[in-house]
Amino acid sequence: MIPARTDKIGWFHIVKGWIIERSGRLLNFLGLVIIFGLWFWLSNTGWVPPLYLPSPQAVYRCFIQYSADMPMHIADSMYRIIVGFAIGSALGILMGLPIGWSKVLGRIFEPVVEFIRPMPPLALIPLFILWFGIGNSSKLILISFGCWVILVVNTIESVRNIDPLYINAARSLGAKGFQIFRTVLIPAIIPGIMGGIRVAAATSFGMNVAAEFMGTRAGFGYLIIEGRRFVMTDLLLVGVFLITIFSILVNWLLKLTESHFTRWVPRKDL
Amino acid sequence: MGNTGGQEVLLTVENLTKEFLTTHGIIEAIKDVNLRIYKSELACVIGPSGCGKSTILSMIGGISKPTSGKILLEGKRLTGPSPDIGIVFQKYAAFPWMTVEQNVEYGPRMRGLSKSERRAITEKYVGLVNLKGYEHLYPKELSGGMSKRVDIARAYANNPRILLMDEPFGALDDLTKKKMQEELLKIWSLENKTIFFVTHDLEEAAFLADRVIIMGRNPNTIIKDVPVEFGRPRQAELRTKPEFVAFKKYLSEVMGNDTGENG
Repeated sequence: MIPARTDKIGWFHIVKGWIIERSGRLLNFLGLVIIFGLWFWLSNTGWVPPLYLPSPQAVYRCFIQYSADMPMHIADSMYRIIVGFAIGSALGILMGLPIGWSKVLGRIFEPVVEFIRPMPPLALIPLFILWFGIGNSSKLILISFGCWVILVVNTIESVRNIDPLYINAARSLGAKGFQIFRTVLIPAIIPGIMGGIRVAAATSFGMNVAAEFMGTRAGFGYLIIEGRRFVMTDLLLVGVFLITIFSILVNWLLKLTESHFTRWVPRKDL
Repeated sequence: MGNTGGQEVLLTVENLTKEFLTTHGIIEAIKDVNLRIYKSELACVIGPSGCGKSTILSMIGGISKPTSGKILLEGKRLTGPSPDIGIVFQKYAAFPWMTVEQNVEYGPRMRGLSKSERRAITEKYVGLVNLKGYEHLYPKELSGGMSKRVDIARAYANNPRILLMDEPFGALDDLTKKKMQEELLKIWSLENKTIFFVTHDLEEAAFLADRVIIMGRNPNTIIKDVPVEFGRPRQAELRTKPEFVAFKKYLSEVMGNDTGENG
């Protein structure tokens, strides 16, 4: 027989429990606090000159100083990122579905995809500028292209991973062609492609800034280039942090969407 | 009572053969199988693993194609999956992205039935398999036995002419398995649907069937067709009765005679 526990729960246990319960969260912040503390300390003691590392306050002041222009820069970049990401991802999924589903189409188009896949999108920037000019369209096409590659590969893989059991079950219940597509294929690949969608979104920010370096009148990349040109390291960092913050924001939104669409997915840790 | 005698034939399997081409040559998964399933009966096919019993089921279900021979449902040749043939698979096959309710109403929805018609059907079959109150759960939230109930309800809700069950309770623990067998008999007696049940479990076959069809190996074909005489409704007590134990022994002897050479 197991003896009943008789020790009382005192304040010590409560505090201990509180710390254990939240230690994960506290640790999550620890690394960030250290990095920011280090930055704050190095820049404010003057050990590192502001040219190389302006202080956090200086970066903030710079942002406030140019705050009137910020909506324009944010809107310009975010427009390219969102539109390019949406078009590229949608095309990737739409093309990945038939290539993954049909054996014949798979045979024909998979080598093409495998050939395009290793091409670094950034290496194609000069070509896209040559073909589509220096304006918005070549940047949009670059971002779309990068997202397309990620999603087409991801979708082909996800379609092939569908358990034939579900297709057979649907068929034996009378589902045909498009019904199977809509009720089995699409829901079954969602968990698989959500990862690809988030990778594509994150990559879009990088491709956008690289495209902006080739010439733009506004955007995150413009702030960075101007910061370098006028040796305003604080402005340069404003550009970098804007990208970071918006990338985190987009990733967070996508995660929310993902958890909504994958409520049904069995988790291993449950 | 066994309801085989003088009954109308529902499904006919004629000279069914399935060959697989492998690197070692042609393997005959099944050879010259002839079979009749009568309306409303519960027929069990048993046999050692690798005898091709599941292969027959998947060909009747239209999932795989026979090399030769034909399958007729009420005289009409079957060539692929059909809503007339319901299947309860060995694996858990409820769509994980749909709730219990959405799974059960899947067949009727594909047929384009209205929402109210679907609701009536779903309510009936969810009730029949004792899943009332669980309609809005996803399969991941269900136990193995409950998932199997969803599979059964979904197959019944589509109102097929015949239900194929491919070792449906094979993955369940012994206690749950026996409970599911008893519940299946109850549903079967209420719904009057023909069931073609494949298993390697002699007790399961003896407990459920009107007729046990025994398959052997080399060649992989039917070696005996045994009527099961135990009365209905059958209760759990039947399992321990001497005549039941004797019948199980008899089945095992028939199978053993054939498989002796293979171990």
